[in-house]
Amino acid sequence: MQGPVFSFVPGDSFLHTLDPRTKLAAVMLLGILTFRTESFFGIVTLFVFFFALASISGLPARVFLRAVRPMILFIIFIFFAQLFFTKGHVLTSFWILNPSLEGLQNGLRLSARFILLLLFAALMTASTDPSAITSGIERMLRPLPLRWLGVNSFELATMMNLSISFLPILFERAERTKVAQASRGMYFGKNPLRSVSALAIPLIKGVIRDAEELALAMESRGYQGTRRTSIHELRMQRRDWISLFALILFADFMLRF
Amino acid sequence: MPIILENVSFFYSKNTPLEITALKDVNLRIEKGEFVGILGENGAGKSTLIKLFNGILRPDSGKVTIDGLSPSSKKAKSMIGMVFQQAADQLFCRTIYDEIAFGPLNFGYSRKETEERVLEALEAVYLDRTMLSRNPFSLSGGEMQRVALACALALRPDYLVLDEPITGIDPSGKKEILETLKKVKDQGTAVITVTHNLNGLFPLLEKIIHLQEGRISFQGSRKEYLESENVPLPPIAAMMRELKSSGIQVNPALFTVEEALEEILRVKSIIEKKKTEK
Amino acid sequence: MIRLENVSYSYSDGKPAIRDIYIEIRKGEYIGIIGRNGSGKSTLALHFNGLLKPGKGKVMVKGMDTRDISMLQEIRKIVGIVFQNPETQFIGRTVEEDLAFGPENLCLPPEEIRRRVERVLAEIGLENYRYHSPKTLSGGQGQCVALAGTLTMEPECLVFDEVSSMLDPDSGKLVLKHVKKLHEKEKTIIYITHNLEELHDADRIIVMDRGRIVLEGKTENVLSNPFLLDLGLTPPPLMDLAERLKKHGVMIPWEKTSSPSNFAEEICQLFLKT
Repeated sequence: MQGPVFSFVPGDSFLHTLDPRTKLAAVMLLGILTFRTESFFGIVTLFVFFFALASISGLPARVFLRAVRPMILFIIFIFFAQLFFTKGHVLTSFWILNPSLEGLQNGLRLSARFILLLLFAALMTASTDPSAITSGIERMLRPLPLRWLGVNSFELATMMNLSISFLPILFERAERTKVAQASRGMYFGKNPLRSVSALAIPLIKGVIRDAEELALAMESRGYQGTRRTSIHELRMQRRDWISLFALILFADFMLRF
Repeated sequence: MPIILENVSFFYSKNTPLEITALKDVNLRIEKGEFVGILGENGAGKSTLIKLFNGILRPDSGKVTIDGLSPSSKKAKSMIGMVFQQAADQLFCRTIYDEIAFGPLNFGYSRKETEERVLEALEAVYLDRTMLSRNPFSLSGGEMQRVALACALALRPDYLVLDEPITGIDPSGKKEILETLKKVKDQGTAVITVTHNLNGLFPLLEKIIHLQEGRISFQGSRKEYLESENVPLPPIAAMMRELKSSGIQVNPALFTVEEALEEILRVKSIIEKKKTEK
Repeated sequence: MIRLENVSYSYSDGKPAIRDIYIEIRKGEYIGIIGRNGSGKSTLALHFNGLLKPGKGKVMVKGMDTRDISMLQEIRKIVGIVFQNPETQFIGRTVEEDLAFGPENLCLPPEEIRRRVERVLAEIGLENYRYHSPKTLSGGQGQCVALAGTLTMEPECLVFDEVSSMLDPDSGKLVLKHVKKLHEKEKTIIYITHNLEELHDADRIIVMDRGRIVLEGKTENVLSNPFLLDLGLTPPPLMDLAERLKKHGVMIPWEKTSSPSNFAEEICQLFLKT
């Protein structure tokens, strides 16, 4: 079984002790910054900044590798798409492909941005208890008038939690069904329509039952979809404000540059 | 020709920090017509082992052959019938007939041949012909499990592999399933079951393979199993062993209530005779 | 503490699931409910804390009617249910988060939630799994997490609905050990199963068939009642053996049938001492 892409590594570094809202805001800010930074020098600075934070966090390198690895094909695809389809000074040409200098630059810049984004996100998710992230988001959403959409911030947070934790159950069920039907001689090429129903019907039935059971378990433990508290006491401390202030200064510096 | 595993090892997430050894150096041989029980705790590698039999998983090292063929060949696949845990979950057709016919049709048998196989399989699981047009989902849990078993039997497998066939089925549904398995075995099919259930299936097992942390810790006949150390025993056998070790001269390798009753009464009369002699 | 009066419930297609159930459960009792699949025992389980409302009759928990919506949260504080499948009971992504889910719904302050989570983690022996995803745990540990998630609600009564039917025998025993410990701490226990062997510790057993209570009485008397066989429920082998030995003048007291070693010890005493 494969572990989750982002996963929490308990610890007590400076990053671990920050309020989840600080870290959420920081990731958003750094995300914007990453896509506003055009120059190579800027991107290199952001990488340096990342490595500085990563060493403060004391997180093992595999956490970051694991975050980037599943996206690597996508990043390579983007790189080549940029390389071949950007018009400009043709570097060399083979067959119908004409890689250009501008393409190379764009490709490198865009791939670097995606990697940075993944790395910063990994830094947050690995240093923050997942349930604290949800409480953080919930607290940030609370002032919004979500009532008009027919939900409240508590429901939204619970829904987020559930969909993340429900996905593995779904995949496992799909895998089990596939294996079972394959051993009854089903193979997809022969009769796709029948194969689809052989997979989909047991899967849907199973998922509905899982969802019903889950709903009962939640209700039994007092879930009402209204106000709830959280095990995580969210309190912005001085170091949160200082960190945010420092980050804004850094962003300001980067954007001027 | 048998199922043969030679020095088979299997790892999950190989070459990553999360690597887990599921099976290590497993050697075994299962002949047609044997009734084999694969025992062991959760996580001992039982489910992994049976997935090697029909090529769902391939060993990382070692060799698996089914009658000399590779398990992923079509011929070998048609020889192995699998019934997974909670097999009733995999039913999807509108009638029980279609459900049981799904396998044979997939393997390309004619309509006529398929019909013959469906009827044969239905009879083997002790379900009535009138049920053929019913919807599988209208059945009770035990009946659904029997339909799932019929689905595997319709392929006329040489090796029938089952993962916990009677777990979660209440006692009233167990009887028919056990009867079916006995009959199938007598017709020359190998029945291989993964199980925790030492009460229900144990009396049927002829050969037992006990897995512990991915290795075979015991392999042999049921009699040898009852006499060996460090294996989980059915309650009666465990009790008889305790009796023996506390100095009462009983035959410890018994596991049914009837046998135990007879043995205890036999020993009792001997002890009483000795007392009156004194 | 809990009283069901003439409770009936029908599925949406009109088929009756349970009929005219009358049960009175006193505080601190350990009650076993047994019946084969489809006997209505799981439907009954959902009535104990108002997850289902009776179609007819009423369910009272400490004087509160489960049909009274304003009382539901209070009732669920008192009666917790552990279900069959550990996987579909996990609400949190970590064990800690899962344990906090209940008290969070009760709107307890964070310190109190942490205190409860801490206490229950230690009680059930899950300290080392605090940040694990419940899904990576074995079935037995998973069921312990489900139990722990209910215990943080600090209920007075716990309902176990076929909790061991997906577990191997050793994991099943682990869960039963926790059940026994909770009973010693004066929790009221309702243990539902189709495996008679698990009910050795119960004070009283209720047998269900086709939606009705067909037999009720002290554990010892119910488990040795031959009527169970007609209901498709097989007695545990050791108990069966004791029953048959009795006919030949070998009396094994019922308590000694709980484990092979107790049983053997008793026979030794009978045969060797006198």
